[in-house]
Amino acid sequence: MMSMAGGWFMVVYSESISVGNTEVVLPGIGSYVGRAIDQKDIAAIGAAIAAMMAVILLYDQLLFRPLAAWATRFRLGGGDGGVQVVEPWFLRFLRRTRLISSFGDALFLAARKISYLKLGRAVGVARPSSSSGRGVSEWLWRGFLVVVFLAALFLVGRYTYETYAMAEVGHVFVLGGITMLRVMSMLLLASVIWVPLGVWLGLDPVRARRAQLAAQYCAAFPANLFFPVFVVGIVHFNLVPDVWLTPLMILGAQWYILFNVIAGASSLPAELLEVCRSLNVRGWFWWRRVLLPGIMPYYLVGAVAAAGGAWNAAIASEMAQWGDVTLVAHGLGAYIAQATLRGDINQIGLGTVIMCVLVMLLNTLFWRPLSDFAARRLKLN
Amino acid sequence: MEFLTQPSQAMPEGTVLAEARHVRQFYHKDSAADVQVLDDVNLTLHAGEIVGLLGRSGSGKSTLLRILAGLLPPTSGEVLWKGQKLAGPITEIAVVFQSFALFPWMTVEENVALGLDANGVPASERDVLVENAISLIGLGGYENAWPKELSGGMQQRVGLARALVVRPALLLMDEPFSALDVLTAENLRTDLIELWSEKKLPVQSMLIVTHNIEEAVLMCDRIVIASSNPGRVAHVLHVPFAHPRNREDTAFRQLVDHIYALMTQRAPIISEADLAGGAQAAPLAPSFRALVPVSITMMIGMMEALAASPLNGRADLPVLAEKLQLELDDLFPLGESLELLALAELEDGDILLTNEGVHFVLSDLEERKAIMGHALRHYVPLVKTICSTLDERPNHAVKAERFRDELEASMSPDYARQTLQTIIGWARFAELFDYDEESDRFFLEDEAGE
Repeated sequence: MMSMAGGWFMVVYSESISVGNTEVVLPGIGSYVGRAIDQKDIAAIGAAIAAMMAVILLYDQLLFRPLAAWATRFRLGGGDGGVQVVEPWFLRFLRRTRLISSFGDALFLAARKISYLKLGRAVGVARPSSSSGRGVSEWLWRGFLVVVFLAALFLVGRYTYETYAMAEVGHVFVLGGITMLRVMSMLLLASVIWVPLGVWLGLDPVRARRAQLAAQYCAAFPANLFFPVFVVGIVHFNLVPDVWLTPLMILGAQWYILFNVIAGASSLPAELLEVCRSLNVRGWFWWRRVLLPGIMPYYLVGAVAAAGGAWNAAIASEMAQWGDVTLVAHGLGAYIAQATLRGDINQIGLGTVIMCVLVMLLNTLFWRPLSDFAARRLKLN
Repeated sequence: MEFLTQPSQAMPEGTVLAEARHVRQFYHKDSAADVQVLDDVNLTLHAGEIVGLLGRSGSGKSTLLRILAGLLPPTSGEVLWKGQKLAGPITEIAVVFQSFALFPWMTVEENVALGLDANGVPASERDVLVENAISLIGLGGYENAWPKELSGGMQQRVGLARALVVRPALLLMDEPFSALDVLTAENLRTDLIELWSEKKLPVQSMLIVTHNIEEAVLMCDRIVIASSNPGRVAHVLHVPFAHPRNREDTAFRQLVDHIYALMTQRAPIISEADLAGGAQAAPLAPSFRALVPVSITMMIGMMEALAASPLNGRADLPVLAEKLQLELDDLFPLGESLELLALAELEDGDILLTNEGVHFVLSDLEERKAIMGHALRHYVPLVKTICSTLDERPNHAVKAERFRDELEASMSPDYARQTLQTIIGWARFAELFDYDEESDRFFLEDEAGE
């Protein structure tokens, strides 16, 4: 469900794309919004948002809920796991309707016939193999890989040396740093808002269930449809783009945090919370010693996903247009977006590579060790 | 006979510590009427005594413990602590939980110190208290271990140390040994009683909630027996033995037998007579009783063991429990289920097979299924209702949800689910009807035809 949001986001973003002078427009809600932005038509944007909401709702009800409920039968272990999944109405409709089920049976029988066809190698026939020959070819293959790697390295190095001035690479790294600062500060902001709220929601089972459904729905919504609304505000009040374009990148990603915090808080065993009440563990002490460690493994999952989403959204959000007004914030996202507009393939390449490097570094040096620690030390059971 | 209790440091023996007065507790349910968990419970805990609260599942004993701890406000009635109304948890009352409830991200020492840290005890004092509690309870050397590195017994020792370190006057224990294996549990019980007898525990009174009769007789000065659905105080017994007690002692065995007999006394529970034969399900709502998960194979095993040669159809429950290596919470539901189906009878702490039960044991599988089917239809109102509904329906299928809803009118959703699950297991054995989990429906195998 969560990844669907990313999918929608990119589709909406990429339906109307212009690289240099080539403009590719696919019919769809994304290009519709693109046109609306060009024509400063706020009503059209509202209509697009409404339409998208309806589409997501339908598809949540007709596709995802039934699929998710049906998939519980493949869950290993734990029987019902204490979770009683309510049968979604559409799944019930599918299961109960006689016409559909007879059609389904026919389909099933056909599929079974196909799956029983004898294809591929029969099991149990030993493949002739000579281990010595395998060893030689293994080494040849490895040697080949090393040569290709070195050649690629050389080509990339030469290309880089010929194309980019060192100063530019440094400049782009600085821009990347600015964007990283944005991503991290927005994560912090979203955490400050959603962690306490998520905990409050998650500690009550009824509230938790409702909130989780709502958060799921919000998370599935492509947030970039809302961007123009913000941009209109920024243009209207003449605000500084460097600051005010920043929240856009967390608009869609914040829900990952909320969703996971709720899940974490509602999975805390009731007896642990009773121990706290019994021992008069309250206030900041309670948050620091009990609650935050307890939800940390869940929170980190959400934060990593949100960080990924925010990096992704940076390209779409650091540069925004409204009619003939273009807002640009300083940052790697804007750099890539502008390069794309100009059709400068060298700059696009540089920006993308540096973004990849930064995200990878952040993952290995920050998120991975943190998650490992949480899994080792903080996991319940 | 000597009546031995433990006078404690601060309070003269017999001083009233906690008192529950007319406590009622309802489980609130939004759809149907509230389900009553506790009914007019009165209980007094004195300084210097260990009280056992003995009851079966459904007797609300854990609920009562939470009410006494101030963790749960009673629906009506009140709890007094040293004469004052108890409004919430206080540090003078500490709780030990069945699941240990340790924090996996704190070391043993940090877990133990939690109550002191939360209440701002100065570091030097805290360290002394923690060290004392840890060595008292036999955790010395484990200070820096993580809970997951410890065995169950050691984990529960941490739970005990954490409760004792705040020097509570009353220690409430919710089935503290039932998650442990037999040897570990016995070891921990003995250690605890020894500390109590030597007056080394910083508590004045303990309440142990348990379903284990021997455990209660082994440890307690007074045993309160609770009846089920809703929970009430049925009997109060004094245990007149000095510590350490010997399980093999004749008087000990007699008291255990006596309690078995008290607990198997037939409660006025709804039988099929209340169900005046009608096929309509709707008006039957409050008359269904909760069934504990008892599998067919265990029932058959028990009947076969009963019928076999040394017992010949009749056995003393404690003896049978030992022979079959069953805990009380397994034995009672088994016996009661057999009684419900009229395959066995419980009488004065004994269990005996009925004629039908003997017949069952001697039959082959097909015959057994028939006997079970007959018994289920006759003695389990819910099965009867489901069967007749299925017969009426043209498609021979019915949503299980409606029966679950009906059950929930008189029990908590968990019990309702459990009851339904038990019934499904039994009915499948007897081939009365089947259940499709996916669509949550009961249905008849198509021998009925369409």
